[in-house]
Amino acid sequence: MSTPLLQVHDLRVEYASPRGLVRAVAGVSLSLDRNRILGLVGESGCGKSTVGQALLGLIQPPGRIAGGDIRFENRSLVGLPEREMRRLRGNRLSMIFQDPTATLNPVMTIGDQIAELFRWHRPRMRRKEVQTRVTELLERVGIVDADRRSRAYPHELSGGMRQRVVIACALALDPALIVADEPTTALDVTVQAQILDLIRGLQAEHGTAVILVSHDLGVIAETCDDVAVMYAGRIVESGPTAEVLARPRHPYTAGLIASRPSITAPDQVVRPIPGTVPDLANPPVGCPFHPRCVRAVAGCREGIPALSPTREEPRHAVACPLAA
Amino acid sequence: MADSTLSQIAATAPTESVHNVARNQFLKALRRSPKGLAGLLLIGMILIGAAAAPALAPYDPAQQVLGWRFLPPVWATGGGWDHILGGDNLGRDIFSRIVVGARTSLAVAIIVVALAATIGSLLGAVAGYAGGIVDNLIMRLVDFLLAFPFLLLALMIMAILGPGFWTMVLALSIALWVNYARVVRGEALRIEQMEFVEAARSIGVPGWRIVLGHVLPNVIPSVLVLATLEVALVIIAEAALSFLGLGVQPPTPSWGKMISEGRDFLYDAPWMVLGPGLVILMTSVGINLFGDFLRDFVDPRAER
Repeated sequence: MSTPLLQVHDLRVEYASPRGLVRAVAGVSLSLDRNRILGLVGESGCGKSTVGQALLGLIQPPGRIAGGDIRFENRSLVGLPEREMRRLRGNRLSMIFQDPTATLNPVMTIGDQIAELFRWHRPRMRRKEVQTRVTELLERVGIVDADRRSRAYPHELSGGMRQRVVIACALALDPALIVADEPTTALDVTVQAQILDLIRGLQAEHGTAVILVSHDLGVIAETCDDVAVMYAGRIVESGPTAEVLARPRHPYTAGLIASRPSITAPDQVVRPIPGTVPDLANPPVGCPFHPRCVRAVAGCREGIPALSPTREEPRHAVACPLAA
Repeated sequence: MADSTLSQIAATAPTESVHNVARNQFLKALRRSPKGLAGLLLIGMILIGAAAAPALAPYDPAQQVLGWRFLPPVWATGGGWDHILGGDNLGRDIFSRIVVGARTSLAVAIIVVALAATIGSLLGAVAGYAGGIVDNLIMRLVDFLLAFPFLLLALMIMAILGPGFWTMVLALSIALWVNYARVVRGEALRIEQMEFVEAARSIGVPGWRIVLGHVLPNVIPSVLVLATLEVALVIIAEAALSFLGLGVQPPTPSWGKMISEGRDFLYDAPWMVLGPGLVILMTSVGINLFGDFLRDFVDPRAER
């Protein structure tokens, strides 16, 4: 088999803070093929968005990539000069952000904002041609009357429309990988479904690989082929979405699933995971989840468990010796 | 299906041009604000006066007539409607000189503010966006210049460059750009944190383009407000420098110059300073009122 499109190996991202070094990502490895959607789930502050930013080289000081490697299209992105990285961003890999209202510049028409991609990555393209491409893109993401709409400012559009524009930006140059960082969190539930449909449809059409960062298991279940559950900067469980969600092995994944209210069994009690996310400047000794874990034993304080495949399904991996 | 109907509904909603919306809001706010209206009225009068100066001035402002020396204004005994504001020590018509002098004073003010705002905003945005050493260099220079009182700094520069219209413009611009740099740097720091800047980075937009295309357009409202307020400051500074003999040179009339000439005759012919003094007051009050209104309009937290 050919090498995967994206291979992340032992990625570490650190932030220098007054309270000490915060290890936002503490050794994440994953790989992704073309035409696949990978979900990254976890609570706020587990490092899932940081992974996305690191992929695009958007980690800003005081943060830095402290170790590991990101291989994308057979080249390493870590330590790539800013010039080279800039050539890739928007072009080969792009990003969809959480809040479409904040992602669009309020004083620029949406057409100009999409056109900016062509301006930097296709400098030889004629103005007229850019304009046609922008209109095409807007139509592709389901904006009616695209030609006129391209001259609108972001505040003249609804939230769902704005997210469509952001998606059009991400798609403009037909990238190989799109990182979608909570693309539906700021939207109404009905609009959410439309946007997810749109992302999935366009992804299938172009064979793009997508990393979908979300805290919403429902969104992940509906959209992703594979899922990686993150906790305290590490992946604690990963595998095919259906398998992981139906048979969660890690107590944290099980806890996440149990803490969702269910619509089919309304009488079922919602069981939140006790405690809060650990302070990443001062993480607990041993398995980072053990202070909140219902199954914790004395051995959990010794050593951080590695992600290893389960016996029944080799693609399903879990970082808990009690569960494997 | 559901998808396309929804976007169709959204698409049929009217999209009025944003410029029209903004203009309507502005006019509505202006109509409700006595402050803004009064300011606009005063500024309008002065601007029209300056624009129509040759037609409005009854006499040549440099023309000296012996019989007009210390001619009292219309309200004093001995004055007449021929010379509403009287004559000065050299027998020139004061009203004509004020009208023509408005051009000098306003030209200085507008050129200086435009220059200072452009340079200051650019450097401020660069400092805020780049951070680190660039930020430090620019802002320490700003601190250094700010340590001097504004007028003293302008005086020092003029002492080096010599008197004259353009040296005055240069001196005042050098003394003033720091204010814009400070304001814009602060705004740039705020805007830099906004997601659309990261989004621009995420599609590979280079840094200089982010500053020019994404950060600067978003600070224009603040710069505009500061600029209006500073026009008044520059008019007064021009008056002060000309008063000290460093600004425009005779026979070109300027308001500050006229006051400085009238100072020696304050007891015998107080009208020589009264006219120019009043128009300086009118202009700066007008601009400040309008600037206040602009600030309130731009600042969403201020009461409407």
